[in-house]
Amino acid sequence: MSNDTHETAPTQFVQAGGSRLAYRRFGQREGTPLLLLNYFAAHMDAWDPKVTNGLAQERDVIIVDYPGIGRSSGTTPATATDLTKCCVEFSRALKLPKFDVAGFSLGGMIAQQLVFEHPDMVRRIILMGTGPRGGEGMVFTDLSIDELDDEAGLIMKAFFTSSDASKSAGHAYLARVKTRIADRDEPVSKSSAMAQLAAIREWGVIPSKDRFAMLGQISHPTLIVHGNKDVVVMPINAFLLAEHLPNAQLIIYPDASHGAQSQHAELFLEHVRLFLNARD
Amino acid sequence: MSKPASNLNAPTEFIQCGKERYAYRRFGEGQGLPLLCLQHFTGTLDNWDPAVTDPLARGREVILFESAGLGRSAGTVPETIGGMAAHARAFLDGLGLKICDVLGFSLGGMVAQQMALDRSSVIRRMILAGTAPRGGEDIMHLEKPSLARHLGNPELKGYAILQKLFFAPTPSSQAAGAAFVDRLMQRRQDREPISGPAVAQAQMAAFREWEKVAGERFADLKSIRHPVLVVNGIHDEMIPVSNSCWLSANLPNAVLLTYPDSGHGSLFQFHDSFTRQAAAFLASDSPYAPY
Repeated sequence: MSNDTHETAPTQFVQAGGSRLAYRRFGQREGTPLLLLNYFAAHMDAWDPKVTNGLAQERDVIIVDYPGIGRSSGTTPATATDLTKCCVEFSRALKLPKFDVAGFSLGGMIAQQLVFEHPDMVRRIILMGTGPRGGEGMVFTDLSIDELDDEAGLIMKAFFTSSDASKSAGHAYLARVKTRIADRDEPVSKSSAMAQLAAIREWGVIPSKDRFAMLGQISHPTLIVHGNKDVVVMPINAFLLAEHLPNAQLIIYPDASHGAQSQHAELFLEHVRLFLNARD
Repeated sequence: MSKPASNLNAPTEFIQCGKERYAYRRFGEGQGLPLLCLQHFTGTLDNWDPAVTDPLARGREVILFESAGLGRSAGTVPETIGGMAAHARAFLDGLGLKICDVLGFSLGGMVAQQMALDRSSVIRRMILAGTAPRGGEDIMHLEKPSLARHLGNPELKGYAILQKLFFAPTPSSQAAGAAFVDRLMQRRQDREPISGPAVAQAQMAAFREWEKVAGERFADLKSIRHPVLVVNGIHDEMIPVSNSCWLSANLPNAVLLTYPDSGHGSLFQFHDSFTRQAAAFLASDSPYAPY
């Protein structure tokens, strides 16, 4: 195993598809790797160290920047399908054996698309704060990339609720994402954020027929986690996933918005442990 | 000889509480608070799945309560959840239990919520499985086609009906249902009499009353501050998962867990996972964090 953590793992690079992708790998080096797929306009430093380090206690954790994000080269793809292609090329470039995938928000959309297209590449799936293709209220007409100008404000508004407990969890979260000092990522450009917003909006369009048919094809064991007061991706979307994925367990956390897995990190890590260690 | 720690062989005991005489079973031991188990529509002590009760009994005492008018408990079945909650409270008083954890399944989950409202100090943590808040929807409408087709099927009798009603219509869920029924049949002696139509009628009246709301819908739930674990099968036809969704949205401190490919009896279908989750939840002593 490596002794690296979220704070110390060196940024590495690999040529995948047409891009040179930045990634980090830390934690246990045995067993099924766990590929984490990030949310909208987020680079690797935006992952919560409490979550990633917690996962790395038992798992070989890999985080990566999509093309055009952080220090990854290339143009950021503007559809979930193209983002998926990059992730597939990345996992092939690293010669990953069958892996577990955990996707948060946009990353959860990519995780679904990836498993749908390449079921044999993945063992188990974790979906955090995400929704199905054509979910409810997922075209994000109100979201503007100008909101990214006040990142801390946006995080507090989108990831945490107005309760004292949630707000204080939010402040702790904002402090944690700064604990990596050296070798940090480059800020996400507006054009890359714009491309990802387009990808999310396209994912949110309700298909004219067979709305959730894709989910019926994903028979992998899946763990869905969501906040009961998620203002970004409404909780109904987690229920739609649980209803239509044949083998998905759903967990909803209290007094939590889009950052549920950070607010309830100990609990989330325990749930992930139970899920990933369960018998196949 | 050690105490029996299984619902397969724990003797049915009786307790006189004022004018009432209740049947119950208690078994198991450990560090945890006693776990009071409140039963589903028409279910008796014999309807508690040993695959759920027995693992939980390794870590705490499990107490199965037979409410008034069921099995060998005396009295008549109340026609309101409030009336049933009063019996459960009288029973705890009779046992001298000031505080316990509660597992309420279906009807029992409604009784648990009512107890938490009426005397909140008697409950520390609650597990609510396959149940609904007051003012929930589509609660136990046995007349709707998806349920009536089993109840009206002349080829189905007794527990074969239960298997259809509690489990999803897939081969995997039905197989889990058959295993569940086998487990219920393994207790050979000292069984409870099966509930008759009078029990069903009174309990059905209680469901109808529970669907009614006075004032703001789900406002009651906000005052239940207890840590709660809500569990449901995603394809529950008897009490649909939307009810668990409301519990999760309105209880201030509840984690919701749903299981795939399962119906009303998801805790019995996924008994290994459920008892692990329940044990982790009950082992926590945090007053605010659910686990």
